[in-house]
Amino acid sequence: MSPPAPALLDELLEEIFLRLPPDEPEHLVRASLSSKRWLGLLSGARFRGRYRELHGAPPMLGFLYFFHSNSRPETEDNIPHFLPTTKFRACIPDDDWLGYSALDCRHGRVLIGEVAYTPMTLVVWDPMTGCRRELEAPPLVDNTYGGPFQVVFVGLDHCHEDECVARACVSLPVTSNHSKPGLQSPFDKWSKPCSALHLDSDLYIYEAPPVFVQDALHFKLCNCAEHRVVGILKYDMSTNSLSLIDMPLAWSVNANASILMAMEDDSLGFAHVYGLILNLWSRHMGSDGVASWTQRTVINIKDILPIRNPNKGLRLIGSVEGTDIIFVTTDLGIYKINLKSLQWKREWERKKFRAFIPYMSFHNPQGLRNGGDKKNLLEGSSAEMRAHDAASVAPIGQLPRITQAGEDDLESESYEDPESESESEEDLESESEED
Amino acid sequence: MATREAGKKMIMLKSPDGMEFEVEEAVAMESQTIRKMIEDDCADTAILIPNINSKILSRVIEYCNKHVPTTGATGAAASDTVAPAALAEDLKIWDAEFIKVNRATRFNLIQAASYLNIKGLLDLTSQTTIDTISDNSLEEIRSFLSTKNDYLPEEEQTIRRENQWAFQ
Repeated sequence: MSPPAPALLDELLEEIFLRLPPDEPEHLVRASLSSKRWLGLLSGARFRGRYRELHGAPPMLGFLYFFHSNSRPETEDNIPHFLPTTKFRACIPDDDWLGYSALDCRHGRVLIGEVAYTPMTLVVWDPMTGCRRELEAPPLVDNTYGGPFQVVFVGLDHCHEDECVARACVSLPVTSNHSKPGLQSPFDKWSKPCSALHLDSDLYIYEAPPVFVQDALHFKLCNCAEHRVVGILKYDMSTNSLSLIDMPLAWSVNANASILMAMEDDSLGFAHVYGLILNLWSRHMGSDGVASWTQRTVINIKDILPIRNPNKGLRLIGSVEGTDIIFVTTDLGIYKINLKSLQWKREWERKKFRAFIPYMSFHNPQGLRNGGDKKNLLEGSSAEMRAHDAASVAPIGQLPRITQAGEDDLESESYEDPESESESEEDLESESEED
Repeated sequence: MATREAGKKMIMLKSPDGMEFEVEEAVAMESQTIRKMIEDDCADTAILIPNINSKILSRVIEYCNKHVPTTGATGAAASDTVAPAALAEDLKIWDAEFIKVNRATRFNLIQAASYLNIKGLLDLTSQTTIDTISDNSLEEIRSFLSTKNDYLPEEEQTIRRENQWAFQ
């Protein structure tokens, strides 16, 4: 019989719990359910701050995805497509889902467009609690939700023949109880839309989550004729204004061969692959106050990833905000690559995902919770506590205008048949092949 | 070990139960708490270590003896002679043996490591405890933490239901 163990002081227990691995969130959840006192300690600001300090950026708990329209399985059901990469399981209420598409994911909330209904309904879903809130789309488009979080709506209006107009507005923040599972009643008002931005008529917003850099959301703009990226639409939340950013390249590129990034140094990044060569640019403010692109690096993917068929193109399908990490589909699977350290990991088997939206662990910024409620605390003490230096305004998402036509062709053309690329890019590739 | 021969400055550590331990200064200075005392000149004859009994203190000294860097007070980088990887591997095996103790001793070691501020020992003891927590049920965690379950049964049930994934 061993002697009775001394009770450890809270500080020491805290010291121990700090070492629980971030990518195994179940341990913190369980420990916080040992008693209310522990729930309070583990979900407290001090512990969360120290945990963040020790473990750095929060890990990915799973991901959301959507398929290219021509490769969508016929039996696909309507519930959100969440695939866990850890033990964490999303709470998916088993009712009321309509035609579903994940549009974006931030701070543990997923913005969903229920596309089967017109006007499109926007839903914010919390996979941690299963809670959903609906937003009724703004008059210029559709619905969304806030809570302490805001939803940004950006859409293109093709009402005129020779031009289209970009519009944006933000949901007014509503502090409400986001902790109860189930569908809440529709609510939320929209702010006054910002000034419209006039664009060429044949553009659409590429169906992929935007990236959030320096208080602005950035979307890829494609042309309808060729489905190639021709520019970047920027919605600045601080100034409530829309603007157009040029591409780092003089020519347009295939939409699924390029990706926007919110880089580790808080700059906007643009990665593009042709063949197996990846080019990375980032955008910085010059001393003259003018922002411009700088080429950061050129990486031959076959030097770092296993590639079986080098003739098969790569597809860039997602990125992790605030890091130099991207997700790329190769002929062998879906890989995560850190473009700075070149570390990589195989995340999933090869699937024709159009977008791969990482569900990152995170923590609630202080003061957002409306306190007292046990479930709220629990939320804070579970996987969410892996910290994220969230801004007090946490924008969720966008609503890309659903484009009418032809995207099915995009997939086969751009991915399987590199021949269809422009002359100039082909030259580029053959040069590097000789290296 | 060539760098740890006689002629080293020795320090006397005293446990509250009256035992005295003579250790090399370099070994004692594995503890940041003691290092600070020595550097502040508060340690002329003997240092009383409160709250750590002789049994635990002797284990702590054993740990420090093993972990004191082979770069001695002479400043010579003695690690040139031993491959660092092999040395680390050896230490790992030694640590694993060292921590095979009962829960009470481990908790006492955590307390000692924390008070004496010995990072390596705190890491080792905490990590071992983490492994215990990771492998056990909620009930076992409760008993391990000596914590009283103050959730109402229905509260607990709700929470378990809503976070099922964490309990599977």
